[in-house]
Amino acid sequence: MIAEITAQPITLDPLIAHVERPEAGAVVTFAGNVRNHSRGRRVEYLEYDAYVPMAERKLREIAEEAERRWECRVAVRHRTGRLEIGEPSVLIAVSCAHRAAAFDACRYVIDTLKQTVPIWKKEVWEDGEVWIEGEGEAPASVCPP
Amino acid sequence: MIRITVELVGRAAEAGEKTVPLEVPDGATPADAAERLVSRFPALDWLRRVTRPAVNLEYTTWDHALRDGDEVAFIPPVSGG
Repeated sequence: MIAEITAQPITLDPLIAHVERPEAGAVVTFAGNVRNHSRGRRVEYLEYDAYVPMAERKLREIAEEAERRWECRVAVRHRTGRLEIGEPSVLIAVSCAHRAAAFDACRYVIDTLKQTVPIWKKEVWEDGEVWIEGEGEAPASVCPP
Repeated sequence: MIRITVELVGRAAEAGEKTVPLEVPDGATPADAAERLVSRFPALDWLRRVTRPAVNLEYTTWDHALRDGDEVAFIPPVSGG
């Protein structure tokens, strides 16, 4: 299993290589890429921040739970720092004996990650920026004392 | 008194410091730690309303009894992925 938070660019190939094995007839992957728009605004780039030790622990728990529940192998990486439009922020590869379980396990990993892993994105536009918390924008950032 | 460390994460890290050592009374809770933190950093007055507490990298409740050496964090609603 791979479950990592990293400040380096991430690619799918090593994750796929990690989960491929003779017993697995299905490999499902998910890529979360930086989108150029959000809630009607044009996004210039995103900045991801994480509470790294807790985020890695939570990510590992999610991957372990998926491996147990669907008898699959999971590899997942989430990136931090500044990400440009089109770059992947999160990549997941899952291998199972059959495709139905692989799709379900992959979906479980990304959905649960988005609910519980302490990672936050900041959207930066041409004329401003805002932290996203949950589904919405956080109030204006705190002012320096 | 016990000594704990508060890690400021997410939007809270913009208060200026990332790690804040605190002394709190025996039996203090994350709610008490948040109150003490806000008295030092008034700009963080939203913490108690918005965040979920975590102790030693696990989510917990506001009335959890803290122990000497604990690492406490207040986790804003997450937005990874």
